Amino acid sequence: MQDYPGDIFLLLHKKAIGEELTAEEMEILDEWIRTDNSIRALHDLVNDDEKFTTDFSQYYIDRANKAHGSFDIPSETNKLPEKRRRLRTLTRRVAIAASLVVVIGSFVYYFAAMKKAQVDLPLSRTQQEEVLPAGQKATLILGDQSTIDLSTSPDGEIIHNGNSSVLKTDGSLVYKNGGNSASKEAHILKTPRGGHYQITLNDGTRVQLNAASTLKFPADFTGNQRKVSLEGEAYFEVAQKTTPFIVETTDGTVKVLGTHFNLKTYPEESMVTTLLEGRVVVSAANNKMETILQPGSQAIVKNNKVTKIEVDPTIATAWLHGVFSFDQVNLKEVMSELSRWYNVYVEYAPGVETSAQIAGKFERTGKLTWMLKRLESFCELKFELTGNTVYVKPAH
Amino acid sequence: MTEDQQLEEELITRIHRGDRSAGGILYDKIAPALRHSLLQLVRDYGVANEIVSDGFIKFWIRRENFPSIANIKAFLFTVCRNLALDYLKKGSRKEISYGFIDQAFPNQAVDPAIEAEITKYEFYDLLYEEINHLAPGQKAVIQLFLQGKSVKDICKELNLSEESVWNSKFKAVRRLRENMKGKDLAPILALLFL
Repeated sequence: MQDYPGDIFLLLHKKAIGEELTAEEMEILDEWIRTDNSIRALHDLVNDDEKFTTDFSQYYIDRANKAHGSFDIPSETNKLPEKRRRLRTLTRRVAIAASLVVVIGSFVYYFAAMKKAQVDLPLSRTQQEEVLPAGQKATLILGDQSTIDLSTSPDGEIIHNGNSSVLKTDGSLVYKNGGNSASKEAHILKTPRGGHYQITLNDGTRVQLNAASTLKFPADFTGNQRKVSLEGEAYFEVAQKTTPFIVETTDGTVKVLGTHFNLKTYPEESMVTTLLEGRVVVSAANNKMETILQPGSQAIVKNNKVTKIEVDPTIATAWLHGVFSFDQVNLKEVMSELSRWYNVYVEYAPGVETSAQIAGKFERTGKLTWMLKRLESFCELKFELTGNTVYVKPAH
Repeated sequence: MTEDQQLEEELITRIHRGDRSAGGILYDKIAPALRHSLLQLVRDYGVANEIVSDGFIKFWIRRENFPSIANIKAFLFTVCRNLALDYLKKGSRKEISYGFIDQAFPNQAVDPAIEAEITKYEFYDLLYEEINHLAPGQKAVIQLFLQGKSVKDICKELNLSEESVWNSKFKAVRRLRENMKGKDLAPILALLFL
């Protein structure tokens, strides 16, 4: 497959409007015309007014005369085999959109200002009007309460203070501290609904923050413990240190030395800690009750009580790999997961059983309508998307 | 959201739902460009038309896979061109194989040559619409010009003087130019009518 450099369209354009081309430009253009059918056809078309008129007339007459054909869909093709249903991932769509931008983008030289409106049209359709999955969005709140919008600020060093610095690169923040100028300032990283972000704390601990989540942490860890607090969901890869790493939530705390675990603690939901590696101690907020987790187990803190169960830890961390994985999760939790990720609101029609259990895996990188369609095919529900509200109705 | 975008959004939603009349609307929109593009290859209107129908059925079967009209267009142009090339190779409609296309799209990026073709027809579409929006008198003159009629014939058909035919054409082209906006477009229109 051939990608066209933008210049070729510029050259074609120059030639079409009768501008003089340099010998070098002529050579480049001739080479393209000789070797590329599309460019040759285009060149012929724009440099031969008769050809253009004939070509367009043909098209115009055919189009104006609708009698030539119609779309007759055989009824059996109307049914779609289940296996053909498939969500397109965001990356695929972005790749296609990008390839459109490249080619049409270069054509803009040629087809000019009018193309702009036309080009924007199909592309923005998929990017703005659709309800798209969460993107890399977050706000950083500093000790003096000043805020930095990470979705708009450019990559690079965003804070520099003595030996310590905060570096922003492609959807993640990295805290670094080279010396003794420890800052005890508390910083807050906050993802909105429909946003996610990654951060490497000063001790090397990596945290991936899911949508609608808040992580509070010191710009530098000092003293005999590393303490952060979380509301929402995050996956922690805690760096091995001699001082314990503690995550505080409204429901309880998780204490670790160095491990990998997922912590989900949204308001009005239980606090769920899932351990992948190492060892953690989970305790409820107003209770001495403690539970030690082994890899593959999960601690649930609910009503100030800790329960421990064995789980498939990949379900809890599926979100890191672009998948919603539900194992007998009730409808209400499924929908609140979607509402956070897609930044939509959910309303239930009378008769919808919000405690109904749902199990299944869904790609979270596709647009919302596709996700809802998948859900519809699984359960006896109907989802209607109006603006940014999803109405859940019984199917019948 | 512009009105056009809203219409397109509505259309794609209806298509996803399996609304056949929406399929028909899309067909009316895209088929002429597809046929026209295929004619350069197969040089037979009937064959081109049949290939377009086949292409549409292929699209319809997997209609839920397309997030936008632009994706559908790219798919149809790709499928139909492949069908036409197949036809040329085998020389017979009956032997066209349908197997290949399952892998062709939407997983793959679109061939730039196809994009070039689509862009050309987007330009044609726009021009077509603009011509339809001309004042009736100007539109009639332009249409007859496009049908290859001479000025004399046009005078006869519309019962106009030669001067007013030229006048209408001049006004129509000026109007088209204004509506297409942007100076860079002018050379194309210059090629078209003057």
